[in-house]
Amino acid sequence: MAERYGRIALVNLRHNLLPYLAAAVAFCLAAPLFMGTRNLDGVQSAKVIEMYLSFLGIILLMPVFAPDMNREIFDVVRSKKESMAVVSLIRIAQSVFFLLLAGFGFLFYLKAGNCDFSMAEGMYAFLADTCFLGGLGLAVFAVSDNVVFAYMIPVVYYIANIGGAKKYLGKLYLFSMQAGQIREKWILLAAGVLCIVFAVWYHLTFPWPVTYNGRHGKQ
Amino acid sequence: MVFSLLGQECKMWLKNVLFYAYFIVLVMFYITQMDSSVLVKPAPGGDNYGIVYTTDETAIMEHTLENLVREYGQRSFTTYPIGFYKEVIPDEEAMRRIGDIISEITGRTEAQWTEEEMPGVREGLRFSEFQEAMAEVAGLIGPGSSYSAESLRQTGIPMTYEQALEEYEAICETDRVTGAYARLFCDYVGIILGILPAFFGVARVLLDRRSQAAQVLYTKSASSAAVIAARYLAMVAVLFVPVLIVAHFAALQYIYVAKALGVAPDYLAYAKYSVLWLLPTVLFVTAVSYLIAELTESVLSVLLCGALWFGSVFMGSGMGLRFVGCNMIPRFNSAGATEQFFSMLPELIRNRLAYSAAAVFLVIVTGLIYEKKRRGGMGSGRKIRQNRTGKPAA
Amino acid sequence: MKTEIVLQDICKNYGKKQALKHLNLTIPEGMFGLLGRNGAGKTTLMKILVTLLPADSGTASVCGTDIRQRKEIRAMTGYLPQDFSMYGGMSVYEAMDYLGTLSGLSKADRRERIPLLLEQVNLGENYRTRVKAMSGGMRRRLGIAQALLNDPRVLIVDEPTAGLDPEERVRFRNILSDIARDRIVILSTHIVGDIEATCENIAVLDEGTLRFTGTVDELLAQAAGKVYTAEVSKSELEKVKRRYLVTAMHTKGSRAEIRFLSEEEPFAGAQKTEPDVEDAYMYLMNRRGEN
Repeated sequence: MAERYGRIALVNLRHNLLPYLAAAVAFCLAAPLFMGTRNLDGVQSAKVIEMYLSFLGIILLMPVFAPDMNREIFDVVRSKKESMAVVSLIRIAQSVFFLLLAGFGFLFYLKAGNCDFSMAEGMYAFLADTCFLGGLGLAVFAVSDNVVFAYMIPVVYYIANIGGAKKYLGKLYLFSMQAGQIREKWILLAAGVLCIVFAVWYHLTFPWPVTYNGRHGKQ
Repeated sequence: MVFSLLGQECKMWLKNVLFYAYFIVLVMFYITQMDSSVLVKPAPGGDNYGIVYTTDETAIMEHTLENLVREYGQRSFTTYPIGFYKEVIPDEEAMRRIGDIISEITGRTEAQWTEEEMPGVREGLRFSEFQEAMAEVAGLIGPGSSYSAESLRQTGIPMTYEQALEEYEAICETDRVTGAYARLFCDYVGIILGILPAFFGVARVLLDRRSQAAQVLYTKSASSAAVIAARYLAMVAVLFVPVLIVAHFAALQYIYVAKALGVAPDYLAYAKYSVLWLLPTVLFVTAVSYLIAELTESVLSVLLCGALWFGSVFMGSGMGLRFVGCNMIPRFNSAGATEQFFSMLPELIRNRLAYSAAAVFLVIVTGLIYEKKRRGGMGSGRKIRQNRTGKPAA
Repeated sequence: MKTEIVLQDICKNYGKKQALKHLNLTIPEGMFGLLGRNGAGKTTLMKILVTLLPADSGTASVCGTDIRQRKEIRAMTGYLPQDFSMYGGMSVYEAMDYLGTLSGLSKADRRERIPLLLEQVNLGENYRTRVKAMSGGMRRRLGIAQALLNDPRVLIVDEPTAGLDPEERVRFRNILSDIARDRIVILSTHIVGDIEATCENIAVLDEGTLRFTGTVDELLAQAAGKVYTAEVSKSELEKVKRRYLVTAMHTKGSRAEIRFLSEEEPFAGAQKTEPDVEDAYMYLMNRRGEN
């Protein structure tokens, strides 16, 4: 059993996740070139976490359904004994694992650089923002079957947050840690998890419609 | 043929959810960003007329020198390379050189100017000399410091009534009201136009790939140049026409304001500014995303464009939001400041021409890549091998 | 200029794998069948002919035009790939219009030709059908129509009947035969029945080399006298299968009627019979490989 799950995870890692992981690593390594990562005060630390690191959610969570875009593979995988739900869960677990790894790594790096924030709060804010942005993208992807559109929506949401839409977003505002309102983050986190669960449920219940000879598209 | 193809490509976009999402986002962004503050003639005796960036050279030199001496004393320099705070601690050699520069512009030894509370620049120091010295300091510290040419221009001091009145008159006469607000429009809309076209370039390439149409398209007699040009221009058209439509409605508001103030509005101000300011952004971002997508055939192109956008948006934000330089998204976050804008206009034009030229270059490269793929280069052999070995393993 | 395709010493490698090995072949006017196993090099050969792949060495010309003159070649060839599809959101007419534009047809030409072509492939009633809503057979017929947009002298069709139901397959073959009257139509297949029904000339590829080229009759002649039928019991069947190459089999209760190949007179009760293309193909492919 464990061997099989490990195998599924390995295949996903090697054939799907790898370029995105590379992008995530490059994204983290690029940070010190453009922004301070030492001696930051609370607000500055929160800004790095919320405005920069939150993109990791899009980078790492969006590939969860990417392999299923190839209809032939999707159908082969679906016909196997292991249920698609398990496969999806393994993929999500992997993405979240790497998300946590990147988050912990980066926040430890900030901490080591004498930045002034609480590790627990930082991780909390990081997870809430990344899960929400990534989950939003996944949900759009599951429903629309349009990967580009699915990337566009969370990016637009992010822009709305830095722009003037703050007053319309209420408790789903991404940058609340900078405003010292970390408690509200649970709403973002819950919404993010909900989005992910919805995305998996929708994707498996209404798989992207198949047309003839294995191609897919909407009928 | 290019025109016929262009029309068909545009029609394809009009059936794509992406286009409508883009249009809606554009309209929403405009609505949420634009303030509806009305232009009012300043009255004497007010206590706050806002901030003006001074052109007083003595004030700039003093303000900057004070800052420099303070940061030098702290051995720590604050910078905002892309809008995020970054502390720079120069090495010994750089510090020594900065110390020497301060000595040069104050005309005193380090021991002397560290003693004084407010060291001034030496008698007869020309502003151009000061600028040169600061450019060297900025080079030593790195991008985004307070000593760059852009920062020097942005030494803000409170506006007086006379200045406020002068600015009001410039808005009415030089800008005919509409011009000033068209700039603000471009400043805002430029932010989203720095990223949204990226989705179109990727989507166009992925459409070929996912619908498995590429092979057949490759074998048609149309030249690669015609295919790529038509596709690119179609994307630019469906991206830019909505901008002009939104600009038109935005203009109506300030045409009305101008008329109410008895000023003859420039009906085409929004269109002119949009073409000058926003079109190059659309051209460039579309070209970058299309090129990378054609090269990688994956959504990684979006991530790369995202990085480009991120850098550009935040680079502007550290510069008081009136900043052109080499930024992909020039910022001028101000209704008014007419005089300052026109002093920056040549820089803006140079910048925009450069981005447009770069876009053309990138499209040509995209065409070459497309041609190479058509001939079976660039990994199309891999696809065939996959086909030969039957179904790929799940 | 003669309507023929001449290939001389064509080689193509994918890394270490040799897909085509020094191929020499002349393809005359009419229907030409390209047979071979999966991975024999059929698709590679076709892609070279439609300029989708360059040959590593050797020369090839289509109706006297060197294959390296891509623009000219593209103008005179039509191609239907194995996995043809178009943008799903387009209607049949829009797809044809788009591909016609890419083929360099003027608007007037497109307006005139597209209805004719769609009529020819029995899609005259389907102008507004979306590509993604089409069945495999319809899509394949659309594929033929689009390949004919530029009125090509050479039509190249990769595995056109794979996955079609029998009715669609017959209809498709008939369309191809109609088209082949005044041009070269190359079709690749591993379905021998397609060849039998339509092609006059054929070539058999095996691991990148040419096993046979000639007419169908010549292929049949090679296997003449080597095909037998017999009725055997189930217990004998295994033995026969081990010794001979069985090309067809019908079970009737406890007995089986079989068709098999043999170089010499086999066991008593076996009757010599006329070979069909499938027998001849199997004979050819196993003549040297047989152990």
